[in-house]
Amino acid sequence: MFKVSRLLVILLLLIFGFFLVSGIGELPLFGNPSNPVHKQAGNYYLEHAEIEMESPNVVTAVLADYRAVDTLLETTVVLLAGFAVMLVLFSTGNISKFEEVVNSSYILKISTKLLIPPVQLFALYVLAHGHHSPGGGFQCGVILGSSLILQALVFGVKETLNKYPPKRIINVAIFGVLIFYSIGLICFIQGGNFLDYSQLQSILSTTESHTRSLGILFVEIGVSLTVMSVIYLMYIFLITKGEVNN
Amino acid sequence: MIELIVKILLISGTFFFLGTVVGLIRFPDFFTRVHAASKGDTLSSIMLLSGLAIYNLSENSFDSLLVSLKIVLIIAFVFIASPAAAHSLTEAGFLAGYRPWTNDLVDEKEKEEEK
Repeated sequence: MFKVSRLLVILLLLIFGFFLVSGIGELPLFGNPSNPVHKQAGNYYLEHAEIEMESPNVVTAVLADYRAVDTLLETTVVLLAGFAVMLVLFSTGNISKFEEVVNSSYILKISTKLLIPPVQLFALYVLAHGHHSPGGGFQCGVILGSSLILQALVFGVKETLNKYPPKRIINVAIFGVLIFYSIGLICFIQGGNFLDYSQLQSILSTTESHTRSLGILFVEIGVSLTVMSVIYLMYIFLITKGEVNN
Repeated sequence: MIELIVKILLISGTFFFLGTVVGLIRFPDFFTRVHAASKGDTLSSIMLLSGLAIYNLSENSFDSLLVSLKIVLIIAFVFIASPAAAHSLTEAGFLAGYRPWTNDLVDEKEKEEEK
């Protein structure tokens, strides 16, 4: 029985592999200017991003406005991945109580205390300056999450858990995704398409391009909250093997 | 004048980086290697970055001032983070059971002389 199922898996993999390999011949040549990639939406993005949403960084404009639904589902996937990690680690039934030995020296604690506020400030800078320089919600979330992990490394997981309880951080993660969805819904209710930020104009009362720019910023705030909390939660669950008091 | 300062900073920075690499490879044990890596690394990156910051100021505009300010912030970050990291690395090594290297040849000779 076991051998039959293994044979079936190998057969399935071979079939899918055949389809994948046979598709390689159909791909356009690398770097060819007449490729479909260079002929369709790309040029429009490059020409209109700065005019339509005051964002010299075209990547941010494409990520959070032109392809906002993609990013929306990406953020949802990040949240679900965090949930999956938590569920897997919860269901192991590992009874061994989590014990930790914190022997961080005075030098380490002081230098961490010196470093964490600038790191978090830099994360906010990356978030707010994402329109003009490399950056945005995902990067800001990663930097914020790493500042939380640094605290857990130096001051011990238990103290960090008291400061940032997992229950509350899970709520923050969900709240981040909720911000994204609710902004999309507000645009929808105002009479436009889902995630069409220009519909926020009557609420924010600025020019249309500035409204879109602000819409990108709001959405990125939600993304960064989600990414931060998911990274922190994954670290906490991996280090304690799911032994979190909930 | 500015160019001369920048040249001195950059050349001495690369020299100290070379010293770091030599120390990292040639020193006998864990602690001396971490010592060489952290000290030389910190000093030489501070020299290189300050050289870049000064060179960037020669343009005399607000934008270049901002960029120089950012480089100075990086220097401050490296100055705090790198020694702290080396400190925790050596502490972890000590707790894991590594002991500082002693010159066994000298010790053996002394023992032989005592005999």
